[in-house]
Amino acid sequence: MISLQNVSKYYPAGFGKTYVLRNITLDINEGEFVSIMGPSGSGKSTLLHILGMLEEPSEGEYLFFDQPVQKLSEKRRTELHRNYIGFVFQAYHLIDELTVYENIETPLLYKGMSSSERKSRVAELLDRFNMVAKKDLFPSQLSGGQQQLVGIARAVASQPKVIFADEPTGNLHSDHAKEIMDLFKKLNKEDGVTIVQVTHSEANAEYGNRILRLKDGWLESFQVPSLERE
Amino acid sequence: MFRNYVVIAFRNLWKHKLFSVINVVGLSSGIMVCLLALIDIKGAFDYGKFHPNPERTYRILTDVTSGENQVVAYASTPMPLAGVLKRDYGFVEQTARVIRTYAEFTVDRKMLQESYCAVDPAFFTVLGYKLASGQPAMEPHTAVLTPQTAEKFFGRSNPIGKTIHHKEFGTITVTGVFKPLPIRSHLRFGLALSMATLSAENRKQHTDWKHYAAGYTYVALKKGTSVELLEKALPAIAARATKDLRFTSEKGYTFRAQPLTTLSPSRNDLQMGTWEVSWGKLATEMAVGLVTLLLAVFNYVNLTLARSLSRAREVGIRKVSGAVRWQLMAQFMAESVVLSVLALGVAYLLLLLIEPMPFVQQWLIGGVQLNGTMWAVFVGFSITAGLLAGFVPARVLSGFRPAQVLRSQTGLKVFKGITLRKSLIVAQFSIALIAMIALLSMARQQNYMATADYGFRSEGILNIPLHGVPYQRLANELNRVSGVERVSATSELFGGHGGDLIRARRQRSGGDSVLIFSSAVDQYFVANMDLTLLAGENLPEMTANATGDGASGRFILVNEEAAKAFRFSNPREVVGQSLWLNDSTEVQIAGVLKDFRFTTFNWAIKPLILRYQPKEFRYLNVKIAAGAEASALPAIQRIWKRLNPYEPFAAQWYADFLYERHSHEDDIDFMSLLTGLAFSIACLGLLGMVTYTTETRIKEVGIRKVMGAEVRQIIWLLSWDFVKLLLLAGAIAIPLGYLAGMAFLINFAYHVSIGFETLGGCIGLLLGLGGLTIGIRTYRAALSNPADSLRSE
Repeated sequence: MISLQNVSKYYPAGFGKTYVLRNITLDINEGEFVSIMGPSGSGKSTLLHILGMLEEPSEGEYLFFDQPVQKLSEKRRTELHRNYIGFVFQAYHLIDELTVYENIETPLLYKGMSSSERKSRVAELLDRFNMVAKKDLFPSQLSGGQQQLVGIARAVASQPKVIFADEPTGNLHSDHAKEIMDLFKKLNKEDGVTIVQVTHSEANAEYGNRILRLKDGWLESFQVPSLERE
Repeated sequence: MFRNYVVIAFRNLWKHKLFSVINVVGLSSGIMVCLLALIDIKGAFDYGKFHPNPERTYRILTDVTSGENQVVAYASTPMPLAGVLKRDYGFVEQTARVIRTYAEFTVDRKMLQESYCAVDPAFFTVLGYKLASGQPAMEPHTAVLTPQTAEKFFGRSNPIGKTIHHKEFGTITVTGVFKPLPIRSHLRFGLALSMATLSAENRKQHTDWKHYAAGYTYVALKKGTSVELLEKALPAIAARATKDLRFTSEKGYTFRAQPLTTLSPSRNDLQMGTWEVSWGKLATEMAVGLVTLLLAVFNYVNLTLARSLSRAREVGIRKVSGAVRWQLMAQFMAESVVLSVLALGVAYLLLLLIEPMPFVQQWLIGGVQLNGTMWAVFVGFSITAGLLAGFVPARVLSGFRPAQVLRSQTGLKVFKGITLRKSLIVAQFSIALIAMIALLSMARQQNYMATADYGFRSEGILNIPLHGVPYQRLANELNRVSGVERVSATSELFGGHGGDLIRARRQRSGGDSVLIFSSAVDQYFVANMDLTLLAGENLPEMTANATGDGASGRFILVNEEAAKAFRFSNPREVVGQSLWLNDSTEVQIAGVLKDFRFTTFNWAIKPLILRYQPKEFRYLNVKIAAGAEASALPAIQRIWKRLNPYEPFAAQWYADFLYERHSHEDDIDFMSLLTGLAFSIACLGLLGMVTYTTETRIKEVGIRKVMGAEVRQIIWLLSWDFVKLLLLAGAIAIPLGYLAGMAFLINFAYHVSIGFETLGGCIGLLLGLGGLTIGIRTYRAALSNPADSLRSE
C-alpha cells in the first residue's frame, strides 16, 4: 500500500544541505501496525509527514496505492487526505472553538457528507468512544486522555485506510496511554485500519507488528514482520 | 458548512473580546461615515423625483462663450426664450420661468427679508410644488408662501387673503400656502410671486435676449415627444437671438436642454447654479468615508495577522482533515463579514447619535428617507467591506503548511507580514495626524478671523438692525441714554462680504473704471469705529432734516487702497478730487482713511468708499461706555419697544457678530468628530498590536527579568519598536499635514501660519496618546512574574 524508494529529505544550510532523511526504502502493507522509533532529531516526524503527504521528499519516489505521490495535484492530495488518511497528534490539536461533536464532524464536513449522514456517523463514534455525555463540551473542559480520544475519533471519522499517529501518547499518563494504545490495536485488528505511529516508548512500540528504527536519518533495522496478514 | 462558518466566527469573536471590540468600534466608525455619504448620494438622486413628469421636463442651460473663448455653462437663460419655445414649437407642452432673488417685505409694519421666486403660472403644474391650501399665484400681485414663511409673516393665523408689501411691487395678496417644500429640491425659496407682480422696470428684462443670467426656463414636452426635437431647436433659437446682439465682452451663447432627472447630482458646475448636489461633493464625502473605513480595515488586517499564531494550528488541522484553501479562506472571510455586519448595527446607532448635529442635517442627510433599497445597499456595502477586510488575512492564514504548524515542538514562531503590519500602523497614524494638522489649522484660522484686530473698533459697539425704524429718530433717542457715548449709522456690518460693489471712474466717460465697495455711513461713523483719517476731513455735518442723497451725499471718504486704485501716489492728492459713480453721480473725495479690514479675511483689503446715503442705512452702531453695558442695555431695549413694538430687539455686540460670522463651530465640530474617530481607530489598533506582540514575547520578558533586567529596561525593549513607528508616522505627516493646512489657508489673504504650535501640538498629542497606549500594555507585561511565564509548558 505504501512504498518508499530511496527517499531523502534535506534542507539547504549555508552552502551545503542538512539531511534529515537519507535513502529510505520501505514498504508498508495494508493492515500493518508499524512503529517508528529513534532518538530526538533522527527524522521520525519528518518521515511520518512525508508518509502523510504533509511534506514532500527531496529525492526518491513515494507510491501510495501504486500512485506516485509526487505527481499528484494538490486537489488529488486533498482527496487522499479526505478519504484515505487520518492523523493523530501528540498535542491532540483539537480546535479550541469547537465542541467535541463539531471537532469530530470537521473532516466529514470537508468530505461533503450530507447532514443526516454526518449526524449518524458522529453519533456512532461518540457511542463507540463512550463520549456521548461530553459531546457539547469544549476541548479545554476535557482531560488529556479524553482529548486524545476525541483526536482519534476525529481521525477515524472519515473511515481512512491508514492513520498516522505522531507520539499519540507522548503527553499522557501511562494509564491513559495504555487505553489509547489498546484502542489503536483494536482499530487495527477489528477495522483493519493500517496504523503508522511514531513513539519513544518501547512498550508502545510493542503494540505494533513491526518496528522501524531511525538514526541520523538512516533506517537502521528492518525487523521482519512476525505476523504477516494475508 | 456555511452555518458552521458563522458559528465558529461568533465563537471566535466572543472568545477574543479585545480583538472584537477594537474591530467593531473601528469598523462601525468607518461604516458610519460611509453611511452618511451613501445617504447623501441617495438624497442627491431624490432631487428630481417629486416633479410630476421629470422624464419629459427639461431645464434649459446657456453655454456662454466668453471673450477668452472659454465656454461657461449657466443654469439660467434669457427670459424671452420661454415665449419663443411655447409659441413656435408644437412639441412643447408648457414652459415655466423662474426668477430667483430675495427682498425685504413689510408685513404688519415688520420688515422681513425673504428669498422669493417670481414664477409663471405654469410653474405650479410643471415643477409640481404642491399647495396645502388656497390657489396658485397667477394673477398680478399674488403670492404663495411656504409654511415656514407663513409662520414667520403671520404667526399661527391663516395667511390666505392677507397682504404683504414690497416697496417696488406694492401690495401683494397671499393666495395660498405650499405644503412643506421637499428638502431635496433644487429650488429653495420662502415665497413664490406671480411673474406678473414684478414691476415694469423688472419686466423689461423679459424681452431682452442679452441677459442670460436673468432666470431659469423649464420646458415640459408633450407626451411621446423625442427630446431630439428640442435639442435641434435650441441652437437655432440661440443663433437667431444672438445674431443682432452686441455683448460687452462675451462672444455669444447657445442653449441646451438638461433633463430634470439628471439635474442632481450635477456633473459640472453651473453659473447661477441652484441647490442641486454636485458629484464632487459626493465623491469627497465618499472618499472621506472610505479612508476612515480603510483605517479600520487596517486594524482588522493587523490584528488578525498578529493573532495568526493562534489560528495557524487550526489551519493545519483543517487542512489535514481535508480542507482546501478556498474553504479556509471562506471561513476566515465569514468571520470578517460577521464582524462588519455587527459593525453596521453599531454604525446605525452612532448615526442616530450624530444625526441631530447641525452640520450633518444641513450638508449630509437632511430630508432623506431610508427605504428597503437603502438598507439593502447598507448591508451589501458592509458585506463587501467585510470581504475586502478579510481577504488579505484570509490569504495569509490559509497559506500555512500543516507540516510546519503541527509539529509537536512548542515555541513555534509563525510571523507573517511584519512589514505589512508596521506599514499599516504608520499609514493609520500618518492619516490621523495629517487630518489633525489640517483641522487645527482650520480651527485656528477661524478663531483668528473671529477675534483678530480688523482695524476698526469692535469692542463696546452694539449693532442694532433698524428694521424700518427711521434711523434719525432712533439715534436721537439713543443719544439721550446715559452710558451711550456715540451713535452712528451704516448700511453694512464690516467683517462680512463687504457691501455693494459699484463702478467708479475719474471722468464721467472714458478712462478706466474701478470696481469698488461702497457703504453708506453717517458722519459719526469714523469716530465711532475708531478709523484714522490720513488726509482731508470727515464727512461734513448733516442737519437732521437733510435726508436726500442730493447735496449731502456728494462727499465721500475713500480708503488708501481706493486712492491707489485711482493711481494717486499720495493720499493728500486725493482730497478734493471728483469721482463718477455708476456713470451718473459725481461725488467729491473729502478724506482718505487708513486701510482697515472691512471684508472677511478671504480677500486682501479692497478699495472702499464711504458715502452719506441715509436711505441705505440698515444698522445703528452704538458705542457704549465701558462698564455702562448693564444699565444702558435695558434702556435701549425700552426705546426700541416704544418705537417698534412689533419687532423683537435684535441688537448684537460687534465682537459677537464677528465671532459668529467667522467661527463655524458646527463644521469644526463635525470635522473634529472625524479626526477623533481616525485617531481613536489608530490608537485602538495600536493597543491591539502591542497587546498581541507583548503576549508572544512574555517568555522573553521572563528570561530577561531572571537575568536581572529592570522594569524600565523591559518597557523600553517592548516599546521602542512601536515608538519608532509613531516617530516615522510623525515624520511623514508633518510635511503632508503642512501642505494640507496650507491648501486651506491659501484661500485667505490674511491667515495664521502653521508653525511650531500647530505641528508641535499635534505631534505631542500623537506621542502622548500613542505612548500611553503602548506604555500601559508594556508596563503590565514588564511587571509580570517570570515564574509564571517560564513555567514549563
